[in-house]
Amino acid sequence: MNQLFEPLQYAFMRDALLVGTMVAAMCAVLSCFLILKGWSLMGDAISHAVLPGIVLAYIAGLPLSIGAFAAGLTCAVSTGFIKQNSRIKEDTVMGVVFTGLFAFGLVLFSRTTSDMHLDHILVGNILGIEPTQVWQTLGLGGLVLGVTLVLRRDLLLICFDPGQARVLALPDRFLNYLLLGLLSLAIVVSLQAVGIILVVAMLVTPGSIAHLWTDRFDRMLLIAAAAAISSTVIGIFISFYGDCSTGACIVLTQALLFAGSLLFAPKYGIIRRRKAA
Amino acid sequence: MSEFFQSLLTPFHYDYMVRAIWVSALIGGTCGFLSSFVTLKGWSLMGDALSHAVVPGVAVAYILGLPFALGAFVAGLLAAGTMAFIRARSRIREDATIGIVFTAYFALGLLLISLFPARVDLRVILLGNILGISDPDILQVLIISAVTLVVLGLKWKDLMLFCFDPNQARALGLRAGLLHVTLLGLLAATSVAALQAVGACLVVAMLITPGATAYLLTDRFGKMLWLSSAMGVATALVGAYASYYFNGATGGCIVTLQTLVFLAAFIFAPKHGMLASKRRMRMEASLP
Repeated sequence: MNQLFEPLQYAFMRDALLVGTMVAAMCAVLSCFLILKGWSLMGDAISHAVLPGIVLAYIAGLPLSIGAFAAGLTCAVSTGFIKQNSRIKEDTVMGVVFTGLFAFGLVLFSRTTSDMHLDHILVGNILGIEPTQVWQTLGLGGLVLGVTLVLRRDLLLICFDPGQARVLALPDRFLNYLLLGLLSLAIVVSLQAVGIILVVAMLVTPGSIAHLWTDRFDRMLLIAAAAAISSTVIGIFISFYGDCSTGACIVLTQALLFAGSLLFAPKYGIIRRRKAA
Repeated sequence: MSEFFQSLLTPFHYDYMVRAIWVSALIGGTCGFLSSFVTLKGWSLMGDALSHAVVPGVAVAYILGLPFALGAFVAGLLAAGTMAFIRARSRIREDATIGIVFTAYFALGLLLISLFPARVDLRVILLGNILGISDPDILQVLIISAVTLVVLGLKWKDLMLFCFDPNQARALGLRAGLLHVTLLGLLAATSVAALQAVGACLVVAMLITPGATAYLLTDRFGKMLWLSSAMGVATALVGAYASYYFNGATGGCIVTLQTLVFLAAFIFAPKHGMLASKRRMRMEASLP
């Protein structure tokens, strides 16, 4: 038993667990909205698109998260603009825009001399998180989580039934942009923990797990958060003992939970469905 | 002045630059050719997903000393199979399924790389390494491109029909399932080749941006194929050349160029561009 708690003696492990829990809860709650709205890949696009923002903010000496946030929103807005003004399908436009921004970020990066590690931006480095960033992550993460939870009824309505939302005179444009903003902010906050490439897993998998277990939204939020937090904690411990990539361990644990749910979930699992059929 | 031209020619003095430029052009052309089909079929996200999902295959192949194309191809097809399975058997939407599966595969690859850091370089997989490409790797790229170009060249009419209208294709007696698998296989194979040039993150650009650009420029599929391949070749040539001046960020240069060409087409394309449609709208408004 003592051996299990041994990692907790290290400050970096305590920080990692704290930050990981916050990131997991925040992303899990957002993921429930995203998968209902069909925005799963919006997370993928925005997460890649933040790269030029990070590099530019670094050059300008601004906080990296501001640059990342601006770049993420630029990606979302220009995707919408190009889609409205051309005959290309939305997913293609999204792919063109986010790869363009990511590539531009790489070119910029190649011309700056910095002590930034591209690997850390791409795949995260939660065990090496700095104390100042811990507070930033907790603060911003708490903000995103709080706003999302407080407005969950309104956000749910624009995800499920935009027409109804308009009938009820909800500011649906504003709410859509708010959701985009929350998504961008969540991605910025999570970059440190899991990196650009795996953040999309945090934003899709927990909601999908919960979607297999329940039809009620409040319960879905709880299940998603529980699944995400437990896989994050387990993943961090595995990577500590196995000396391997933390982001990968977290995401793989989540994927295993998803596979388990896919098979055994009480109502929508494959085994149950087969019995019912 | 002549000094300036001299300095423009310096990249060609290096063997590795010349090699990188022609291999990139080949990859760019192959991907560009395929990209017309990918855009038509609406498989943009499939390209993104496959390019990330091949990573564990590449890692295993490097660890075991096998040809990387083989591992990547197997991993890509496995991922496509997993996605099809989950979509058929659960209530999860397609886009979420794609997201879950490709991140899981990618994470597996990352885990393998972090366990055997000496055998595989993460950076090479994520960002490509065309400037340091080895001879056996060039051979694999050549084989992949040749196979892709031959298959597409022979079957492009069937594949086009399948992309446009699968039901019609089936009614005409074409085997839609076979065409589906063929296209998926070609997509997996070319994403492996493109991985060498631009890395996992940017493969999807090589596979959709030329097609999307050509789609803005023409209504005829035959012409679209030529345009997208030509754009793939040209941007890869210039991008690889330019990367000499950008610390070897080949992928970044190629894809940034492609995006700029796309933006130009988006604004100025004669019929489907933004300016053209604004003009059309104004003319319609001024008519009585």
